[in-house]
Amino acid sequence: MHVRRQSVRNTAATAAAVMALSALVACGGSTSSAGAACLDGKVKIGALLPLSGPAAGFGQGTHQAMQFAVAEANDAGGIDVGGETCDVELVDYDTKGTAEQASTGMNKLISQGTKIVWGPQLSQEVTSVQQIAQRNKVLFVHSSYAVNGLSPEMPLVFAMATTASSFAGPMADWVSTTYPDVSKVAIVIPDNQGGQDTAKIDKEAYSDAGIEAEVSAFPEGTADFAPFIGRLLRSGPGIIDVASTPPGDAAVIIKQLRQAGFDGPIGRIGGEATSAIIKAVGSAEGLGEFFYYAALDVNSEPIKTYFAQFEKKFDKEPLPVSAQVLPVARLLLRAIDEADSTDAEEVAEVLENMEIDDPTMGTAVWGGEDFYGIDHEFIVDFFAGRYRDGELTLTPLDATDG
Amino acid sequence: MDTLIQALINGTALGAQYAMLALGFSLVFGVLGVINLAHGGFYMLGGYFTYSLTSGVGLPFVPALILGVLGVALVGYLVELVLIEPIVDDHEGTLIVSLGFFLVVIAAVTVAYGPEAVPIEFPVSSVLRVGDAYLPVARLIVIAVAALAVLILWMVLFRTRHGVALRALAENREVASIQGLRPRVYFPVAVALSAGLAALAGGLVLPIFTLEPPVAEVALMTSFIIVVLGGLGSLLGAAVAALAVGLVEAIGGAYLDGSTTKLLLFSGVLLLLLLRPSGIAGRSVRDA
Repeated sequence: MHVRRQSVRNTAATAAAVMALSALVACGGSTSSAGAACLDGKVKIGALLPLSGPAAGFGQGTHQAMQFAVAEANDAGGIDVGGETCDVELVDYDTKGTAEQASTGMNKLISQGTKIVWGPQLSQEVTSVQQIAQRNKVLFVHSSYAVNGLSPEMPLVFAMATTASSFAGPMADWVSTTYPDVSKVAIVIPDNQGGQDTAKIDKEAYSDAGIEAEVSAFPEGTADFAPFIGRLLRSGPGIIDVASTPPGDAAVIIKQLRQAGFDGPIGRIGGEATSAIIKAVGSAEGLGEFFYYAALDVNSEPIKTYFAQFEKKFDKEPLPVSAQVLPVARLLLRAIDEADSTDAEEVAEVLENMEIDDPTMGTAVWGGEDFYGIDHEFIVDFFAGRYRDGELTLTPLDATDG
Repeated sequence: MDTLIQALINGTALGAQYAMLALGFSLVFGVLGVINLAHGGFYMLGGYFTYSLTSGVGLPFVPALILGVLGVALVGYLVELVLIEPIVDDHEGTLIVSLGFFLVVIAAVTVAYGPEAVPIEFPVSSVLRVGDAYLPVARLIVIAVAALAVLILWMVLFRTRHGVALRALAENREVASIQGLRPRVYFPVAVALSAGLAALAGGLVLPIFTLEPPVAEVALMTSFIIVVLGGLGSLLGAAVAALAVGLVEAIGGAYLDGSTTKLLLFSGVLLLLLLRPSGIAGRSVRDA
């Protein structure tokens, strides 16, 4: 009996260790060592993204954008690096949406000689790789809304998508005009860095637009939001903004809010994930009155053309978010080509001075100095999306003017 | 008062869901001595099987759920027979194999259905109102089905010949084997029962919440915490711990912001394990 109990204890301890280990396990990338420049006719770029886990929808979409840009570049004959023409190859590392895996992945990519990294995605990931990248002079392009995501002290870091600091203001103004009777909004966020950063920006934007905003955080990993929603509704908000809540969680919150009888507007001034939310809710009608930051018009001809090209090339439909970040994927490869190098500083210098006129997303600018102190944020005009009875209307809003 | 009533009902529904998850996990440990890390995968598969049978095949929800549960139970049976049985006495080996299966299932589901949530709806969406509290009927159904499932499990284990055999194997495998009970026959049955219970929880609950691959990890973690809290291998302990965790989450969530409820919950678990390292209630199926 003593032996069995000892064995049980050992097994439980091992199980705990294995579960902890499993949280650290991620799909590794290629194990071949690659130089910073062209090796065997190939230049390698790291893709450090959450390809699994709660943010996998974002991560896979962002990966698809770079996959497409790489295929375009290779189809056009490759890019020039160090006087040679090379094919581009992506080296993937799955961060699973965690800070630990992001930093492990960045170290692994660096150990393989990678100097250019596409990703990471989430605020906590970006924070965890900053020092490593800076020490090793690695250029990385992320898509987080972290308030510390860009700075003059990090000249090798770029944002691949327009961040909340650029779209929250115009969106909050649109909200105050569209719903003039609403004086109070509840901002719902996951209790993590990304959530807190977005909430801070959104709260200020609502306040500037004359709407009182209160932040309510839920713990990550919540499955049933009923207790949270009861608490949320007790504060009597006129609008509930799910901000940067992951799409799956946002869908549950919307379903449960409607079930609880909340019939006011629900919004999302955060990362574009409306198609994923609608899919999880079941229908656009299920959203009720819903507004959101719409990074793109999926029914516009250039976007439809890209979707068709992607499907033809990869035999599957792309995730809509891939179109949003495609311009910077293309720009990054062009910058390496024009710099004729994968040296991070040389590529950054070319990249930040590029004119942006993308065949899919149109004209855009590098901006962000007012908020981040450096013009390394990709800023493109966008839309305020609004669903009523399942019908979508898009109102163009300006972000590039500032 | 309305808030508390609502929190109590939400907590009971959460506890019922957790009980279905944790009982299966505990059953496998009690009978086989294996910590089955594939358990969260069975929960997720319950949701996806039900989804495929409703949206792909066009079956109504209830038959789809029943077939989904049977399908996942079959998967569990095969997993034990093919992967676990050859190394059933190797504790570390079974951990690694079950974890491997878990990761493969998540990856396969992500490839097959995509990383985003799929559209699946619970067939009942009506809501009862008691004062200011709202009580979704779906939750009451979850509580009722979970209670029925636990009752059936109890009857199987304590009122059938096969249940006696399973408990005998849990009690003392060598003696039970000498009596003619064959582990190779009963171990896969235990895992099938466990997988079926997890699939029932997944197929029933995920349409109410959301069905996407990450739910598997949350389910595995929750099962593990509850089973450790309840006492490894104790069905009674698992049921009590499941209800306690559900109530703490619901009541805490109704009054506290952010991660405070989780902090309270884990502090409570830590304290209890410090005071009573074997968990709430003992060790094995025979004590249930």
